[in-house]
Amino acid sequence: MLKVSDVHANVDDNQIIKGINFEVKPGEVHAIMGPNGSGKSTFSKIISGHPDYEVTQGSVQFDINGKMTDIAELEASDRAREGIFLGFQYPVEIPGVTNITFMHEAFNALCEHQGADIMSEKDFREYVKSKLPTLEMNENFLDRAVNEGFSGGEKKKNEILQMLLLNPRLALLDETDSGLDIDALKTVAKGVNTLRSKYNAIVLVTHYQRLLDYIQPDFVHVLYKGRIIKSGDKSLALELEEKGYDWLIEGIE
Amino acid sequence: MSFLTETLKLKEFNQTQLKELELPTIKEESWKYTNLARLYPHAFSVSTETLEPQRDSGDIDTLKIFGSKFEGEYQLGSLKLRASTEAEVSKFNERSHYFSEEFLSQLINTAPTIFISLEQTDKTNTAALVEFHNAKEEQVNIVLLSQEVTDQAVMFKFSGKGQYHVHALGDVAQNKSFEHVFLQDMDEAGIFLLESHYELARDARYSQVIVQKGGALTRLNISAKLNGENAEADMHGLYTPKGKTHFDVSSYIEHAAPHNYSRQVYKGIIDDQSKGIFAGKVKVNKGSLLIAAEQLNKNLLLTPKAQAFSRPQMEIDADDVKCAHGSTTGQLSEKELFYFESRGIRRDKARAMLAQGFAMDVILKTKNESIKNMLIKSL
Repeated sequence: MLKVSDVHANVDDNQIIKGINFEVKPGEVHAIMGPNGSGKSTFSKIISGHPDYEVTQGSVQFDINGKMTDIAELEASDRAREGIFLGFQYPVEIPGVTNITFMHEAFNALCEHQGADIMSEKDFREYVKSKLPTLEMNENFLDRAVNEGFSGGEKKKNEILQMLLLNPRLALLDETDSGLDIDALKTVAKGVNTLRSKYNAIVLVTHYQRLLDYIQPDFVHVLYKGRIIKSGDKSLALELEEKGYDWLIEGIE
Repeated sequence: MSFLTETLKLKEFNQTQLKELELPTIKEESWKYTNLARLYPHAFSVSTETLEPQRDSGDIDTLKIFGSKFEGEYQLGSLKLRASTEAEVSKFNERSHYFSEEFLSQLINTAPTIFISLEQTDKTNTAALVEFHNAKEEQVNIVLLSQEVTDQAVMFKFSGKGQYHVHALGDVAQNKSFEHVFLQDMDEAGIFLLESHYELARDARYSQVIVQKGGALTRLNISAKLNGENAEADMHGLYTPKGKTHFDVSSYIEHAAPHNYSRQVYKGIIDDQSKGIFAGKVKVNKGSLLIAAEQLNKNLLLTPKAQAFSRPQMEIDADDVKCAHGSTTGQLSEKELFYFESRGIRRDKARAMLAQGFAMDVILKTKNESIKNMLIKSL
């Protein structure tokens, strides 16, 4: 469903991504790991269409209506409507806009795109309430301003809640595990696992192996200096946990 | 040429008084950003409207007043509106407050004016809406005098064309409360001049929310004087100029007794090539110990040509007070916009939602629920 071919990308004229090849099929869970500054977050932002990142070479293709389509020209909002979801490393606070209004608007944008009827606020609230127990969130969160005054763990749960509501075909989760205590991590992982099906794919961008104890990946990739230097199955993550990244880095330098 | 020199040619005006007036120039501190000669070049003749006021009972008891046509009295919920008595008018003419020597204040007496007294007749405290509508390119001068108010909320809405020149004046007596909401929703070319002054006795509460939505030129001179202990003044505003609209507010809040409170939040959402100006002073008199004053002005610039000028000021002559003031001016954050977009919400919609979120803060300061809902609906 996603095919990234030889992608190079710049931020403010600095080349951050230097030729990535990467393919995701429905039902798969991929983990992208790597040391700080390797380009992990940049990679997820490129796929989701962040306007600050300029793809200078290569292509990103995504399955739209059963056809692999180059999405270079699609705005972030179009990509989201096609089923690409980005879970933010640092979820943004939006004062003055309530969580329920924000999620309702996003949900209706999706309905509109799929030609479905939009959902009334009352029905939507019931729908959201049905998802809250999985994430151990209470209804108060819905009427607070988006992420405003939320703790780190609450913000990440709120990201996963949005993911579950929008049911994306491809979920890119950017360091969803960082800064979480073990209980919050388990809850977030439980939420992510709910999305897993043969139709959905998940890409976890993470710094630590810890998350992968709770969300079992099918593939693990190591990103370093803007390139994937090693791919393998989940045993690669365990090997990294034990040996660190240095043995891989030494191999290529 | 300015409207002042042109107005001299119109015979309904009081020529003697008018000749003594001088149009303020941008050299004067409080008119620094508002060039009346340029922004207000033409004179309007006085309203000739003949349509009688109309009642409407929607969510709130409503009276719609056309042009300057107002006589007799009307009951709106617990509020009675009536033509002011001669004694009330002459008391108004002797007024003396921070802005009363200013140009705007002096201008009101130079043309035919309707004087309306507001009186609360029972204790049901039902909110009222008074809408002024001006269908013609004419001038409407209104003086609103509040008398004997116990716990009343009233919203004044101004719509249509021409020019409104409004003065709102009153006292809030001991342990009474009054809420005043003004919505300026005029056509594109409309001119809106408002002066308001309220004095608060001990334990009195006065709350004011002014929303500018339309018009070409809006100038507000607003002031409050807290004469008693434990008095509370809320003086909030929202301005949303667009096109080439000019909005300018001068505010003065005076703490003249110890142990009282004032709060002020003015927010501007400034679009296109418009301008928003906030100049607000909080004065704490000598001996006004242990007061608390907060003043905040925040501006959101939607385009590179939109301009905001912000001057929050404090003059404190007492020690042991709690005063805070601040000012911010900025644009919609790219980070916030991308967050919306990553959820499938289009950029235009995201901008509108963010701007609305920014404005909501002021609207929610309205205490009366039915007026608050009406204000939300109208935005």
